[in-house]
Amino acid sequence: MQKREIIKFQQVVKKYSGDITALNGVSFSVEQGELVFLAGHSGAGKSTIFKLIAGSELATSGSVVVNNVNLATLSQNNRTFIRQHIGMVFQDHKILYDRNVFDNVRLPLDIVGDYSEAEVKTRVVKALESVGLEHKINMTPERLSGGEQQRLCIARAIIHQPKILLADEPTANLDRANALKILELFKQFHQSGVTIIISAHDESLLSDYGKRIIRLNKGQFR
Amino acid sequence: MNFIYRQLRVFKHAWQIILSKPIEHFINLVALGLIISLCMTSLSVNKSMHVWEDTNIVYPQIYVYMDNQANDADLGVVQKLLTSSEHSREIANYKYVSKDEALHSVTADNDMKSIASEVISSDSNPLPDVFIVNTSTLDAKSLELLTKQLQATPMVDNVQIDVNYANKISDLISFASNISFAVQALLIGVLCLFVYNIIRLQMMLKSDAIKVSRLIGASDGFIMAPLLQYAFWQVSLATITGAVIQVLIAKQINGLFAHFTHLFSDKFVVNLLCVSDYFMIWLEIVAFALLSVFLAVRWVLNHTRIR
Repeated sequence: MQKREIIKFQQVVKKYSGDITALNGVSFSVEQGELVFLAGHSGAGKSTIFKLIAGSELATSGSVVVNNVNLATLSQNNRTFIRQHIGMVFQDHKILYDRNVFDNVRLPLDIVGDYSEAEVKTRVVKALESVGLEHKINMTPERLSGGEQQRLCIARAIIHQPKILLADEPTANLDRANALKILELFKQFHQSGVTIIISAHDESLLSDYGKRIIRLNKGQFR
Repeated sequence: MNFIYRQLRVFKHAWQIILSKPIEHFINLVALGLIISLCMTSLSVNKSMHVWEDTNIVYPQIYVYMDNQANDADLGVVQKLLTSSEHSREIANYKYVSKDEALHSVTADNDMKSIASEVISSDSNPLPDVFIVNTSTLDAKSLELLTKQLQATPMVDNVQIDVNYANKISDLISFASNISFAVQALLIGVLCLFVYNIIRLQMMLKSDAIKVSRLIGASDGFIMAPLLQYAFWQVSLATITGAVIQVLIAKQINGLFAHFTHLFSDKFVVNLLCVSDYFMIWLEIVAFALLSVFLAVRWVLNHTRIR
């Protein structure tokens, strides 16, 4: 049975103000349940691809289709709702330091808003268990190491069981051992059927996984 | 059920904002309370002025001063004229103040003692008998005719009337009312700006949380909801504070007026507002505060890029 395309880029061009071209006619697709790596140096356009998938930016030309919806046809508010079905992991974690681990992880559930307090608790514990942080549930993020903060960010990204997980340079600030642990976590989530796109500038980390690698250079495929 | 959970969470979040910085919010509360109390005071003074106008100076008064030599028969002639059916349309009622009563009242009044020392110390009572006539018309012609008739009555020394007195006072009170409405509008404007600024500062303090929330799918409504509740509780508490301050201000004003209130006919009192007035003010303030929150949130979100 042929798997359906969950993400499709067609001749996508993205220009920022000041005539900076981040993507220049990029076309690719990702099938449902696929694990794809995006490789390329800094400034190659990896983060722009994530922003376009998440709908926080719109393509200058070409089309970005996510889950059969052309994002250009949606209002800003509806693009926001698209993000509720996507898990996002950031290079700089984007953790909130004014609240503890539990409250950081529960944030996507609060945003969706369909969960009782008991459900929230169960899901947070489960998400933290899956990244090995359940014993740090009441800690403040400052007390976590870089690797733990990244795992916290992953727990927050998977708590609402998204169909798509985007990880923008999740291993960039980690040593090799921690980076491999993080990638192993993504591999486990992939086995549960989640579509995952991971970007990294260090290709040596990716080659062992035997998955498709999309290589970018200056906004174009290499 | 989930709706209730969501509302409870928003309620909890709103109170977390307030309780996280109690001193700052207490200062905000007092400042908002002062603005609201001034607004309430302005409204209550305005209402009290109209009450005073209605009970005291709807129509002009005529003062009929009798000659010092007037006797009971002379007084009877005047009384007959005042109660005649001919003038029943113009005259609501009248009050007779005898020269003895007038002297007694001057003697009893400590403030008047020093002013009227010559009157009090003289052997004979120099004060005249007086009729104070409350009229029931603003028709200048019929009032003029009545005045002329009274003036022509034997042993009447003098008749005083200011036909335009009521109109002048009425115009003055209308002017004061307009000033009062302008002050209320100005204060509501200040309140809106105050709330707008509080929300803007709150959002700037929480800018990281807002950016991350938007990045992972928070709608504008999700970000706005706790701020709306926060503003709702803040202005509701401020309205209660304002009402308490207004009661204190009214007491102070009435205390000050008590010393010279007799100058204004019946006592002028700054009344407290009724419960429905307080309720309407609360509704109005909540509506304006929520509008300010909406505008502040829209402004901040429009100026915050998701990165």
